[in-house]
Amino acid sequence: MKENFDLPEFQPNEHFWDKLQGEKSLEKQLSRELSHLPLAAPKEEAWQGIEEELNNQHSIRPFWIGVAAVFLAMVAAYILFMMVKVDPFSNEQEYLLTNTYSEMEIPFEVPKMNKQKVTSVPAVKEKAVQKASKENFMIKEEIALGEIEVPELSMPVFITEAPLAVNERPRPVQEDEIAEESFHEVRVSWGINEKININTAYSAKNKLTDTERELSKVRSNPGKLVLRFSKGQ
Amino acid sequence: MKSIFEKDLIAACIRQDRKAQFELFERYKVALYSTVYRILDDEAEAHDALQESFIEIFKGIKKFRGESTLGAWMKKIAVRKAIHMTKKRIYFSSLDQVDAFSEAGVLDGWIDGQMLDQAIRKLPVGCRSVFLMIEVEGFKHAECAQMLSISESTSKSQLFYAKKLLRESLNQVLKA
Repeated sequence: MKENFDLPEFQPNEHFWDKLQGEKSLEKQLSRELSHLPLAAPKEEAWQGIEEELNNQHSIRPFWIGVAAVFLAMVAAYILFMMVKVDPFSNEQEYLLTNTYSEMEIPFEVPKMNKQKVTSVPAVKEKAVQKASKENFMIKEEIALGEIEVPELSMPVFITEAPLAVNERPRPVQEDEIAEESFHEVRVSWGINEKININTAYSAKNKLTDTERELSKVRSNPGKLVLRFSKGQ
Repeated sequence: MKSIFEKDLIAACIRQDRKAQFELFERYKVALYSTVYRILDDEAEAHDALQESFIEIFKGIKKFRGESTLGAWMKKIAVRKAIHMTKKRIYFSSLDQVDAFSEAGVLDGWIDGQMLDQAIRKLPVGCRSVFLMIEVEGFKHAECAQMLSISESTSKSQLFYAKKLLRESLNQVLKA
């Protein structure tokens, strides 16, 4: 049994009730209870998702570094190529010069063969050099040749031997098998003595007969093929 | 002592130490998840926001200068993520016909955290976001307005509106 003590009692302040009612205001209750809002925890798998994402980001970085490296290499290669590249216009001009079928006059000089002095190329033999330097050969007239039979060259015939085995040594070449060196020189020049102008038909309006007529200039060429031989020695 | 250890933890996270990152996650996962969950009010979206927040935290932790506590810095990132995710469905009720600036008033009884949490969830998404950012997370109206792409005055009026709705909702619960 608890012993009853005759302790004095105390009354609260008469404003206490009003003060207590004031604590019921929303603002005060909010400031008190907002720190006691219930907390929520994420699922256990949340970290796995984050870890996977982190791993993916690590693997993406080397990929982009690789892409950047390839791109830089391509740029460098392109710059190098542009530096060493031949001027494209030079090729184009060459093409135009050699492939223009127009009325354009192409400067052409017929070599003056009658009075041309042919100087010989210095030969190895001393006597031959002296003789060639004294005499200058003059071509007196052009020779128009018809069909010429080209003489067969008498070349030394080599008998081909059976292929050697791998371990066999090749037969040494005999002295009589070596062809004698010749120091004779002949200059040959040729050309058609008449210029031919051919106009080709590029437009659809031109008839086929026009093209045929132009081509006939080549087929029945009135010019003659002239072969000129000038004797060296 | 804790702050020194936290510095070590931050340094390890900057080195992309996976154990340190996990430790940081364990320390703050509940606080951050609770924050984003209250804003989004959707479990799946809250998990997505949490994941994106931690990725951004680990990526950007080297930029943390210690101007605020690490927890506040992380919470700011998480709130931004949650707001970004919910921005498409955020709408703000027109307050022309609502006496938004009236006195929040006195409740008819005493509430606890659980009751308050339920009442907050019932708020419209626009004013709920403002209420949570200002009253719970401690953002200023200017920051809140910037994040939600609204004016400061809208932020203030939406906060009053949220409190008015809360009082009505809580009084209904207290009377029941």
